Amino acid sequence: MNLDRPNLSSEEIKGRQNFEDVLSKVKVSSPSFWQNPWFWGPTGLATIGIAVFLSLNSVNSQNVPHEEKVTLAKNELPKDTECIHPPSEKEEVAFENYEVDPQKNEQLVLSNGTVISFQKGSLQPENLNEKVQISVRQLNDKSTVFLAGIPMDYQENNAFISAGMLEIRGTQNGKEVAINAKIPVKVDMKLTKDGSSFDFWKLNEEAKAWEKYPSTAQQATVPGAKVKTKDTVQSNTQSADKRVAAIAKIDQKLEKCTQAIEQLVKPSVVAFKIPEANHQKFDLEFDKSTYPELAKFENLVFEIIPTTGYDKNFTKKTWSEVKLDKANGNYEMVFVGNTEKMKVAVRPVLQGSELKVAQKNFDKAMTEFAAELQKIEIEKQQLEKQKATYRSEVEAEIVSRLRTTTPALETANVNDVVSFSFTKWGIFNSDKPSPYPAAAENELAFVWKSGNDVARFHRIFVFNLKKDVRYDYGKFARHGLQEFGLDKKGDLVIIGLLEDGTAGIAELKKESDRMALDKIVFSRQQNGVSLKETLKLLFEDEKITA
Amino acid sequence: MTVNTLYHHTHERLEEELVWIQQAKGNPALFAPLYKKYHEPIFRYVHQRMDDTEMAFDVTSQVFMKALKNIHKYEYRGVPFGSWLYRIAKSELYQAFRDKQAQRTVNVESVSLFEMMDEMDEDQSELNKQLLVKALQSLKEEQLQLIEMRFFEKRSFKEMGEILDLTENNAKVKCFRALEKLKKYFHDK
Repeated sequence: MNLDRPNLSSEEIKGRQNFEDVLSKVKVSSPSFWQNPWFWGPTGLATIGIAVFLSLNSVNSQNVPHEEKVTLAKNELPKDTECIHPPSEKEEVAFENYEVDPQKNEQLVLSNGTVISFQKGSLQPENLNEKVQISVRQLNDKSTVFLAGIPMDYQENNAFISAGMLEIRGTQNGKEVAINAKIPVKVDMKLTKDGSSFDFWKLNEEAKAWEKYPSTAQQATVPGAKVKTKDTVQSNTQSADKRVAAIAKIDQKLEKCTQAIEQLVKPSVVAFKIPEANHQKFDLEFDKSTYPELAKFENLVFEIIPTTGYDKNFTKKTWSEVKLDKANGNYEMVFVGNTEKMKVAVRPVLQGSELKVAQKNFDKAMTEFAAELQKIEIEKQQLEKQKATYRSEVEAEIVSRLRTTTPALETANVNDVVSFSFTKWGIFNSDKPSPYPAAAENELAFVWKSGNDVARFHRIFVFNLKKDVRYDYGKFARHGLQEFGLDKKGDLVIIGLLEDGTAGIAELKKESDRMALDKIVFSRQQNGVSLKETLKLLFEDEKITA
Repeated sequence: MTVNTLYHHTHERLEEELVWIQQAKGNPALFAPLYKKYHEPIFRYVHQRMDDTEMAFDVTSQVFMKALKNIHKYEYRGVPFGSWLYRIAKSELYQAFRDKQAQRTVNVESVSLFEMMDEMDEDQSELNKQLLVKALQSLKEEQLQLIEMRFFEKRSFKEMGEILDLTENNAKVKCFRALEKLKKYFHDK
């Protein structure tokens, strides 16, 4: 017997919830077919005979190619895992969206001075008369790179120190636009650090690895190109207006979905005359001609509705008469004694074979209701998702409208700009690798400020602010949680993520304390404060553009 | 004595559960809301009866795996879905004890013991607390379970009956008898 054992908090228990894990271990199966008695009847035996004959015949006489046999299994395989895993789905880094004419020389100037140049004929969309949407994310500080979920590992044991990163995609009506291999898109990317000691890389999203990419540390401009300044703003304004109209349409559809859900009638046990366990029931004779709606049932009893309030000791009293009555459409049993009279609200419920039929009908109705509800809710979710995308696009366009559009490259230091060209969209990065620290020799305990153990982080990120580098451990990372280690120098910020997305944050500033460290104390992410805001405070970094 | 009211459901909440259950019967992935709702109560039920926290999490996972495997067999009987899960939990717990993966323990807070003393009309002293611990150890497993559910987990007799497969009245009577036995132990000492 344990006296006063400390209780686990709800947060800790919730932190250990892992429905995906439970689901993955369970193969739900319907009752085994051999448990059906009919199976063992003559029909079942005959079927076995035919099946055995056919299967033997099939094995002996056919050479079915192996590939044909596995086609179904192939279709059931999950999709490939993507290599970008944002720490919070709710706080994705938004894209800036621009529209360019594929039949003209055009130039986009981003807010940090990066210039993207498209020559006429470079973009090859299906429809040359329609504009191409260019979506860009400038990932210029550790916060945005982190929130965007960009992997920063290089080879087996290095993490990248970034001097600037750019993600760029081109689409027309949702379809990726091809780039003419002979006329690549050119980029003069503004760096955040002196680029002379950095190499240049592109993320191979299939291989989940950074690969070296040719670049030059010099300025380049496209002669005769039109700089996207005021024109861009106007075109963005038009695009934003279209999106706003689309959002209004989505709102109308959402309203219809809500109405459809409200109109769905949920089957109730009352309507199907299904009894509740543990509620008192009475077998009562009644005049079927007075209650024709009940006349068709043979196994009918009356169940007390306990919520209606009545003297619960009434069964201990002696009553001279008990009869059924109906008031305002509701049934009641009337108990008449020598000196008193009492009414109890009841409802008719079924028993025996009639109950079995009713239960079956109820289950069927409930399944149909659940399916319909699920269908509408899926539609609603899709609409909400679409709306969120449009809204973030509108917000990004408004932000770009407010920004100064003067090209900044003219005054930039040549070492701060890296020039490259590409014919495939993707993520480009100016980086240099830094080795991961050795795994901690002693086992480190992770505890909350309250003193309770942290249930289990599934992802941990260590930022070394001095080196400006991030080390990733756990799910999606190359390094497992057991390889967790700490740099001996530099201020460290450690972010741990629980399965439910909650973050724990720890700061290690005193280098001297780090040698004898046996535990790391985490604070919980404050309620109502986004991860973005939390990072902003931790890094004192005003450049968060998400 | 205050009783934990979390278990008692309104008609609307029971029907909400029914929708989830029907959805889960068609698609196991839709079992998630039921898992979310009952994971903590089931874990606490299991952890209350064993020392090993990790093992308690494992047993809890087993309970939900078993529930998911057998969800197609579930039939609504007018009580919360939780009572079915508690029954599975009870069976999984005893399986763990039989396999000697875990040892049966009773976890009790001093405040619950003082509440019991109050119910037994005994003085709330430290000496009586020690005596009550010894008295509890003298109970048989079935009686201990009833006391554990009623006084340490604050369950209603209705809920106790549903978990232990007894009528509400029977749970009340048996619990009363267990309490009487404890009182006798007190008076004999």
